[in-house]
Amino acid sequence: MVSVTVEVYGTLRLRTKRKYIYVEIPEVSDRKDLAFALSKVCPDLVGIAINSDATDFNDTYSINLNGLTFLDNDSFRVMSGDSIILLSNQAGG
Amino acid sequence: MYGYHGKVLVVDLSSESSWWDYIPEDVYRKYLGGIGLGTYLLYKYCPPNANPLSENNPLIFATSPFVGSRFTTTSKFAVLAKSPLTGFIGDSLSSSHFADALKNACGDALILLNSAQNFTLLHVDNGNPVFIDASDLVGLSTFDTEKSVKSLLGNAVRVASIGPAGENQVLYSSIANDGGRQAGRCGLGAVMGCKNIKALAINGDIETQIYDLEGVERYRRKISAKSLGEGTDKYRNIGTMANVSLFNRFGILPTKNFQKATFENADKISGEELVERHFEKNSYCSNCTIGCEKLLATTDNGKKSIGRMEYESLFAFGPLCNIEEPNTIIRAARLCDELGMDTVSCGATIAWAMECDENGISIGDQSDDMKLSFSDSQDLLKTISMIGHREGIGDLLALGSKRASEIVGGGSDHWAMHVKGLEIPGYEPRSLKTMALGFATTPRGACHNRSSGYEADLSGTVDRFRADDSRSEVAVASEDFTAVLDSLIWCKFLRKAFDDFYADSAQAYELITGFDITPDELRLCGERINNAKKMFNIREGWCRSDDTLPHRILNEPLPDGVMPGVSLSREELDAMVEDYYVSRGWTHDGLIPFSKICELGLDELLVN
Ligand code: SF4
Repeated sequence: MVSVTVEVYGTLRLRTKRKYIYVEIPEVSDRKDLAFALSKVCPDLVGIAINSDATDFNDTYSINLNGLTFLDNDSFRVMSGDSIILLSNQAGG
Repeated sequence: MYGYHGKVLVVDLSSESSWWDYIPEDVYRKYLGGIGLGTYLLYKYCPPNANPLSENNPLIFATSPFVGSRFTTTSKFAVLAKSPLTGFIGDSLSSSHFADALKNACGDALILLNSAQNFTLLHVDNGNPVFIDASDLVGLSTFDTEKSVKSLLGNAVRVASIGPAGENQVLYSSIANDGGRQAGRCGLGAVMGCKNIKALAINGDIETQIYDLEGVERYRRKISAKSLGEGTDKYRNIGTMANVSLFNRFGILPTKNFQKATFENADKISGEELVERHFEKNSYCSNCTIGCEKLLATTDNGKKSIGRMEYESLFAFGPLCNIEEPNTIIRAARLCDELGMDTVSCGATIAWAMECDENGISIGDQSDDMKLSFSDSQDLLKTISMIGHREGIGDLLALGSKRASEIVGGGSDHWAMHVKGLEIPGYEPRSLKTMALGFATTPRGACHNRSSGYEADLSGTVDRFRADDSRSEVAVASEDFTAVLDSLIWCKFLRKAFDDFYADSAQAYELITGFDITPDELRLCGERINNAKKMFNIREGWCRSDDTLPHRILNEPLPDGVMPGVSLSREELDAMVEDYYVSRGWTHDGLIPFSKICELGLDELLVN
């Protein structure tokens, strides 16, 4: 298992009162692994950013690795110290 | 006709006369309303090569078929003229009660021709213009002007006005309505000032008929419910200010006049922080369920100020000027609204001047007790006020960064951050390549509202760091989408509430107007409107070299952010621009072939 930081922005930050959430996920993970791990550490996200059975993120949210790569349905590899950014899909404005 | 009046009110300010111009049904079907209808009317009423600050330039206020429907977010209108900042098409949107009054009093648009002799309050009561001497209003802020007009004519009138900036023809002055809403970009306030119109007061009760009343009511309930869902969550709770922290993290927050793309004090001015510490209340346009605008209050010991805040104002007076003090930024945004000035162009022109100071280039006439330099928030407010009144260095800065840099010289055009004369909003083009292409090609100049290319960049559908040939189709689609949005007119912040934007909008359009239209035909309207804008620009002297980006963007790699060193060369941009022309069906020089003009039914414009 690898420790990663999930960065929270916007209304999620106001609702959870957290900027960072630390989770452990497998080195090769997918969205489901991440959603499940996050739901355990921060249940406030369930029903908002994470779907009700904690199997994925709601489609109004995107996830991004280190500000560089958006994560889709494929599995992805993480390293210790990586940051995963949880963001609303209402980009810009 | 349903949804439209079928006519627009034309007012000749010099002869104090007016008449109705009857618009063929076909025009509505082709240009929809708002920006589209306004573009058609601009082409018709603006003579070629008109000086934007002359009486030849018409000033057009266009409504849309959705105004009056009570669909959420649709109380909007478009303002158009030839822009004094760019010399090309100038279009801007604003919203709220003025939109409803405009449609009930002036038909589908109000067109102001020529100029009044002296500053005038133009009152349009159910299509009848009354010309009132406005010498008492001269010098008043936009807020005080609105108050004074209402005390004179009663609260039933809706008011759009200019502040001192518009009177003084600051080239990026705005037109304000309904307590601080702004048609902000392109300097349309200067055009109104040039026409000696200090304020418009409108009232009327000539409503349009709706084709399917019950259907519209059902649709209204459905879209209102959707507008309160997750797809608008950001706008309802933090508003666009939420961009600051995320953009900083992604390395796309223009800082220190685009020298960098991250701001070390972003946390101090983030939307999350401002909402926690400065939030006063949400502000709603009429018929809006979202209420994206946040009113913030200052919290320091200075004079209390409450200002509307959105991302663009926050970026322009914050990171762009390297200022980290929220109270100063709130005051700066409020002051711009009072004076009637576009915050983006104002902040960007000041940032240009700050960089001149950093490079030891004199911009003249700075008084001894004033220091306009990065991070120095002390003189920001004073400078904004001087611009609005065109005093001291404000007279130079009132011209915008392009013209000011041409006057000052010394290579300062290298850091004048504009496209076609319109200052760039808060999106870093070097690490948002689709947005870069959009900034270079949209007809009104650097604009994230007429090309929302950033959406692709920030969704992972493209690699935002690479300039490649996947961009042109994306940029074209985003511009055409936006043209439809801005012509019907839906608020942009509703866009994620639709299941299928074109299908949903076609249905809404049909319910109101009775015109059957397919989603593809609606998409074609977007293409037509963008081509019409481009035709206007070509007529006004556009050439290939206008579709470019500032020297800094094309010559300096980004030093910071998640991918330091990322750059955008002139060759890369040129290749993307050429691809874009191909995707549009234009020549490789960006001209529109006659066959394309005919295909889109735009040949009628050539007759004009
Ligand atoms: S979302 Fe904001 S800008 Fe759009 S209509 Fe509502 S209040 Fe006005």
